[in-house]
Amino acid sequence: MSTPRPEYGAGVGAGARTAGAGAAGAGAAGASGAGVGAGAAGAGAAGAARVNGGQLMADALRREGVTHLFGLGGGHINPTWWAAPGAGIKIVDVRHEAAAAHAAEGWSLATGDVGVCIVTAGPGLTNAVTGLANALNNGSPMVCLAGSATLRGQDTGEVEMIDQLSIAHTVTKWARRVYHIDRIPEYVAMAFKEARSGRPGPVYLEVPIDLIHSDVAASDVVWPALMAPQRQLPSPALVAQAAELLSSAARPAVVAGSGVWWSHAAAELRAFVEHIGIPLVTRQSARGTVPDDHPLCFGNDWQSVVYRADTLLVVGKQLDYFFGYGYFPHLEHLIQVDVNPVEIGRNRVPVRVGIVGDAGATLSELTGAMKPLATDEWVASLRSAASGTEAGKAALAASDEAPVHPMRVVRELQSLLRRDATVVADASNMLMWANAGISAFTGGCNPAMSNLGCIGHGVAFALAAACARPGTQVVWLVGDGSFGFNAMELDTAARFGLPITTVILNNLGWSAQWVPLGVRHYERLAPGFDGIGELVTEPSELRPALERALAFDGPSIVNVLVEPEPEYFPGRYLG
Amino acid sequence: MNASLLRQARDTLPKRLNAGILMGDGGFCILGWMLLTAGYHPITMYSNTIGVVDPATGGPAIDVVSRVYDVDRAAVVELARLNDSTPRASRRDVLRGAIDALLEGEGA
Repeated sequence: MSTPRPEYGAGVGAGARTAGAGAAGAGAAGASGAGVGAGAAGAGAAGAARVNGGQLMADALRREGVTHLFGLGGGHINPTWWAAPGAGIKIVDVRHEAAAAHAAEGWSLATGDVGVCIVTAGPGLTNAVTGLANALNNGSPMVCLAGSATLRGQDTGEVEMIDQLSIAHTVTKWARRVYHIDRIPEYVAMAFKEARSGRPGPVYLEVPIDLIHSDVAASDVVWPALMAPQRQLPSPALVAQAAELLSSAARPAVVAGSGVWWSHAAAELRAFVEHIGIPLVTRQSARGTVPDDHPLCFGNDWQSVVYRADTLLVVGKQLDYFFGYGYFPHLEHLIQVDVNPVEIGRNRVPVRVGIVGDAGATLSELTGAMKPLATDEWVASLRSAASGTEAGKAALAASDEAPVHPMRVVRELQSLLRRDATVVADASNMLMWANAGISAFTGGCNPAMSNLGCIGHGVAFALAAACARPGTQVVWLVGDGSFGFNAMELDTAARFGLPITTVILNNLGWSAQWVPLGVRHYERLAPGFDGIGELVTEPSELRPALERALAFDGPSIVNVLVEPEPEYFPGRYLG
Repeated sequence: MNASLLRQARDTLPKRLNAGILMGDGGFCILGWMLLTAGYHPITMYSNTIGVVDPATGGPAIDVVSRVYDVDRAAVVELARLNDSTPRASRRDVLRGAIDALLEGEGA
């Protein structure tokens, strides 16, 4: 394959860029297979041209298909910051580097592709660490670019100097520093490959300030070949074994996890469950890949299905805390599919058949290997149990008591949303209500927290979703405690014209820890950002306030005082 | 039956018992409280309505409580049903009475 490379004019020093090769390069990403060495061909006019590090970085990013860069400016990264718009990359500058990193992950959760953030040296990187750690736990592909102190000034006490690489190694799957300016494109290509490969995850690439500000003859830069992602095929013998076990099960079920999303396998998953007639639950980034109202889908209520099943097919879902560590001794057979062999049988779970392979490719093979199953009675029994649960939820959602019951908030909200709306449910106790009352109908629209346990990151996910899906509804559903973490990002939403609706389930404190915060008028922040805000204290006020907020073309806050000690819906733990 | 453990759970019941969730919004249902009393960490029950999330000793909450307290599964189901069907105001007293009855039935 040929590998387009940017062309540079004869401008000096600043790397004056004369051709938009970045856009052409991005298009090449759709090609398959690994081209080799094609990037060495030079453009005729490039001999006298010089290009600086920032320009190389921006063009390398654009070549990878990057359109948005979430970041916060700093002297150590200025050349990239300045060059990015010219390369066709929109910079979304946030108010804290934590939000930059979270937004980069949010982009990957919303699109299935690699999100990118850029942070400056020292505290820029340390502020971003939690975002990287969250992406690592979630297995979300993202690239974090950082400036760093000069190479020459190492160990001199230079400003913003800290061993960033060592920090980054603990919260990423790959971390590197660039030592030679001409290798920036090569390292960027490596970074994207690493982020996408195997179990996806965050990667880190730093360029020292003296390097990013320097320049090089354009003809000395060798642009690496681009490589399209490839699907790892499963073993046919193992697929046959899995098909046999599923076919002989009385109560088979599928649990789909994030691996389905990263494999872009929504169509394959749906085709599989419909062909087999097998019930399904979706977890984390797989939420919405098959809509919750599909006759075979039981949403995210995995326990209600898993504890009733006798044979389970787990696709792209870690056997982690969010999945009972995979400890289900009642099962006759557990079949696991994961692109990463390390995940197979994690926690000493006795996996009957472990298939190392891409989620989409394996589901396709399984579909071809199986005949439809007689699951009507089994599915009907699950639907009956789900109906009982739903009745309990509906009763709570109909509550007219004040303070407002949280189930009423999430259900009123749900009723006002379109199917392609993004709902970012933040974390902690509030998440229980979101999980119980918010449905997923479209992939990437319900970005999930990781088992790291972050709170307050949701607004950054919402920023990214609003950038990725302009014109759709984007809601940040958050508790009053978590709201305080990154609330200033509503300013970012305002500056970029992103109509994010913030709905606060305000139970007046950190209820999981019994620490009060009291009544706070968070809604009054909105006018300061040219938005609108409302306080809701009565159930009757809720719907009109939500309608006004969702209709507003800018940031809005609905601060709902909810019952601090609400009743839950009964019966699910009876199994 | 582990009468000693059951008595401990009864005698330390919190002022408020939740319905329908092992642990959340600052409280526990009867099963969650029994699990906590038996030494399970809140994180194994947090935001959880059915199962105890533990890689070695977890599983459906009913089964785990039955095993840990050495109480018939049906009796545990009855405790859970009673917990959820009783109004909050009287839930604690009703559950306390139900545990008393369990202990008396065993002559404990």
